[in-house]
Amino acid sequence: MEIKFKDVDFSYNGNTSIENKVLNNININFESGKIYGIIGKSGSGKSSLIELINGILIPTAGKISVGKFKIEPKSKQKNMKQLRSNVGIVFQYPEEQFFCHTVKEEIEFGMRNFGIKTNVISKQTIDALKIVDLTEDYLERDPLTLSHGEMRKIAFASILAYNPKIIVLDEPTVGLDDLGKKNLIKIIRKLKLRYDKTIIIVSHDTNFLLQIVDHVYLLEDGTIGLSGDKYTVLSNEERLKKNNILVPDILAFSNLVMKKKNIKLGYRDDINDLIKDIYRHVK
Amino acid sequence: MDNNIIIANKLSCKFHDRQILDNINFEIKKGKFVSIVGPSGCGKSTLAKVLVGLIPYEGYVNVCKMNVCPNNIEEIRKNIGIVFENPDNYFVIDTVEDELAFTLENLNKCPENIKKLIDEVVTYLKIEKLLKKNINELSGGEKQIVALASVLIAKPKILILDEAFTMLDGESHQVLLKLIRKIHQDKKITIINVTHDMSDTIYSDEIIVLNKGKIILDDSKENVYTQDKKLKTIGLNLPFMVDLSKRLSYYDLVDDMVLNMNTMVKKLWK
Repeated sequence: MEIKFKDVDFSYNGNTSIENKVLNNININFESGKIYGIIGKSGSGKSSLIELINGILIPTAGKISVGKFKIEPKSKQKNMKQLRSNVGIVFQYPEEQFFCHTVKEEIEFGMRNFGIKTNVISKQTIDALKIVDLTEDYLERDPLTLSHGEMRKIAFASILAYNPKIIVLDEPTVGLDDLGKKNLIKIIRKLKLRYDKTIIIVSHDTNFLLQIVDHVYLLEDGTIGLSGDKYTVLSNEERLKKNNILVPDILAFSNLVMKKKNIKLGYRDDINDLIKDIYRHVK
Repeated sequence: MDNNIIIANKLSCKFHDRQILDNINFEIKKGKFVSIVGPSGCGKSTLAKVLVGLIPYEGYVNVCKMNVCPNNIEEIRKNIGIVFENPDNYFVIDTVEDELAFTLENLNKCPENIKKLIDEVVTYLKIEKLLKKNINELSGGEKQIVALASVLIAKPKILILDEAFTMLDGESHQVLLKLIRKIHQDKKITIINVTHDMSDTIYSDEIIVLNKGKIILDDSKENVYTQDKKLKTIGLNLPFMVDLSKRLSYYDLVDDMVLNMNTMVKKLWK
């Protein structure tokens, strides 16, 4: 499902003396089957941007279309159920939001809320568990007794279960160890290739983004500062540094070689390819 | 033996029916920078909490020549500073200055002394600008530096960092990590850095690797880095520069471990 932002502004306390403009003239197209990264320092408008996608926030100017659904300044929040069933947002530390006694109830909650037919609920629950590489054995367990990594997976599964076409992940790698990140990358790739989802990831972990996204947007003070393929944006040392963001290690190395030796290694997302490039130039 | 500031002998820890720490033994020498790493749920945070007497345990633990037991806990805590993952969880007062004074008031320092000590730590960490600010106005990175200041001000012999970098974004993460290295070099205090991220271990002298409550490696940083296969089986990756050095050495492009990117470029293109 496609998402289009056309000339979108967003302010908190709009039209009052304490108006705080957070997003300014945003134009973005998110296409289906692609993975997008959103970077920017705290306060740059990242969270507001993703909350506009499912109508938690309503734009103060411009228009957002999510598939056939339109969100405009005069839209009413109460008509958003159909939209929200298509946009799954996994917030930072999703495990802190658990409130059911079993994994089964937790995953089913979203589906019941969106009125999904009872006879398919248990099948979709199991399917969602499969996508995140967990078995049916987890169904009767108490989510609060699971490990960090498992809790993340359950939170992710509870979103996937109602089959939203758009998936938004907010800082998904914070607190995850290397294995957790590796599993997450596997799940996201599966969602892209096999399920054709539109995936949007907000993260400051640029090493992680480099491995998984196609396109990156840099938000600077509520506007799109940079937009481009992952290599172009994530290798832009000067602009990223200004925004407190580190260039991924592999790209930083290529940049340094360019700067010190004036040798163009090219940009890679896999360390093995970088090694081959170095070998070619040094030998 | 005399040089050991921390000794753990047959240390075990249980939570409900789960064995969190399983009969572990290790020693940490005074003045070393030691990282304790392992995947989520390996017991590393529990271990940090045992050292400051926050969690009951079985076995023998000795910190600063004192047995960790209820009678000694107050004295031990005077020697240890600990910085946790989320600074929001432990600030108690509004302004940075009062927060720093709070630590010292608790230690019964006199007012003139408090002022002197605050000046000293604030100058050392270069946070003069933050002193009069309200803690809520600070960024995540600044908050963590203030948390560090509120601990350093008591002049601890041991500084424990329990996932202290996890919530910070890229740039402030690097700033804090380098600051810790500077503190270690200047103040000669023992640093214990508990983390799930191998790239946070590059400045340490020694690394202890935990998995499922057991120590699987306890050695110098360099020796631990050579065990990449063992690390991989528990899901830990080598830090980028270590990984790069290792892969380049397969092709005979470098002959040793180079942790600095600049040095690496110089070596490759002599």
